[in-house]
Amino acid sequence: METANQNSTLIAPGHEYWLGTDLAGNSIAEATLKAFMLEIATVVVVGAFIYWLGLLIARKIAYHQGSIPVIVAGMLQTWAMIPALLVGILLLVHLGWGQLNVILVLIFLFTPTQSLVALEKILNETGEDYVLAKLSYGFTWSYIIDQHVTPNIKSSYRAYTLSRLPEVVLADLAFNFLGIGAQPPWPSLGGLLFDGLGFMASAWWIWLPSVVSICLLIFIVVYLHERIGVEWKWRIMEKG
Amino acid sequence: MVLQNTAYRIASLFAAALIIPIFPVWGILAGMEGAQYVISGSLNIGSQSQIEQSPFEIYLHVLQGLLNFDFGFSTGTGARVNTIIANAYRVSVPIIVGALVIGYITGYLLGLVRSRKSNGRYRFRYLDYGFFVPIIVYSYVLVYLTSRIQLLESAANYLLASIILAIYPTFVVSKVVEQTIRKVKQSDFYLFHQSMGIPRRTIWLKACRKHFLIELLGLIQPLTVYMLGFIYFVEAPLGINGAGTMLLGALNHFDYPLITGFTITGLMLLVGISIFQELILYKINRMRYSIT
Repeated sequence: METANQNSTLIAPGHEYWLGTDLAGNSIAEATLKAFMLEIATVVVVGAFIYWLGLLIARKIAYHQGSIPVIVAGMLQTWAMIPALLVGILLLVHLGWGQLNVILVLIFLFTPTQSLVALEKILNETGEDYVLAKLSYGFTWSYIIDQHVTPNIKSSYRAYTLSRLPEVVLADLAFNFLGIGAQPPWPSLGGLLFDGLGFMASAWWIWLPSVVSICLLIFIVVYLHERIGVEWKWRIMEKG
Repeated sequence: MVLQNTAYRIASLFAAALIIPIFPVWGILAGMEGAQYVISGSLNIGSQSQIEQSPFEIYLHVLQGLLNFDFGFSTGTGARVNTIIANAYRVSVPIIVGALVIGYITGYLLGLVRSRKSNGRYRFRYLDYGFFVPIIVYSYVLVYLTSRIQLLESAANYLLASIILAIYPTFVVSKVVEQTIRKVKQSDFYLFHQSMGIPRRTIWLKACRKHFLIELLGLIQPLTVYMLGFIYFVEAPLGINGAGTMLLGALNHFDYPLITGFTITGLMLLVGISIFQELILYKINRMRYSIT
């Protein structure tokens, strides 16, 4: 692997450094690879947490019958209209910079809308006949929600979560571009883009690998959503 | 429902106004990095004596400033935060409005194309991947290419910024137009009018306009949220001194009053737009947006 060299600042791509070096003499190839891995880790962690937390919160709310779920859904809808990025910036200013804080803030920002969608799916499903049948058999409401309703909505909810991953990528990119994400010496895709801002034409190799990595990541995420989300939808339709 | 939604939004604004002053108090008490900027910026002074105030007094001081729309003085330039933000929005608002106009026009035309599918599949669906690419990628690539051919001038900067910012809104509007066309074509009233022998063009022009208007107007607030949230992705590469560049500078220098002033004014602006949008939609379609 290429290593940093203090005397190798702003070297164009070549034999010695495949993707060139930045102003500090760091290898762009190594930095881009690390940043790409960090981005994937962020997306996986945030995606997993918002999936489980959203479902957990929605189930807990749905345990209550009557007007409570409707009121909570209204409050969550109001939250969904708040510009999450601005709230995230405000939170990070007070929590401090760092990728771990960015992950926590992203989970905090995305979980309410996830739980709103899960809650709406659960509430729609509770209108089905089989739920009334289970109630008449004497099963408790929470048992029906956990054992019968939730498994039925999981696949569509999973597809919805996958569809939100490009937003997670974009938000993480935004925080890192603004300089409130991963801090040096750990690189980030947004940070590499910001570093390349002053060298748009003169040192294009600083920002171009980040651009390619971002496009690749987005394509992977969207392709996964289309493949997995569509496949699950077809499975449900086949089951009838 | 309109009153309920409007009440929720106003309540959330008041709740935010009561919660936000807690942050600088927490920052000062928790000993956050750069607390001196929090103190001099939030408390609007540079005097050491004010630090002896109790947390509740600091909270009230900040809350008072918030309710008077006074966010203090920038710790970077020393100018009033309100003035800096107003000047920045004066540059950014035309870009956002231009992007909305471009997004709606191109999105509408693209939506008409999408609705004409062959064998039930949209012919150019793989082009949709391009809409998911972050706008900063387009900013960097276009700025690089235009700098190569020496095209970039001040007026072209703003137009290019609006065009780039309009990419994702174009996709959203086109999807909504396509879905609305499909929904209307399957609706009972459309099929009934068609069976009466009324020409399709007449049905679309006379009966379907309101459906489009309602669906498209409902996109204004979420698209404005998106544009305001990501405007620095176009302003920074294009060298435009608008709200995005201002925020970028404020974060890099930890200009606490400017950061909080920008985020709070952004929140208020967007909540105001959503209330206005809700009232307009209620005016257009009272049946769907009932007052109860």
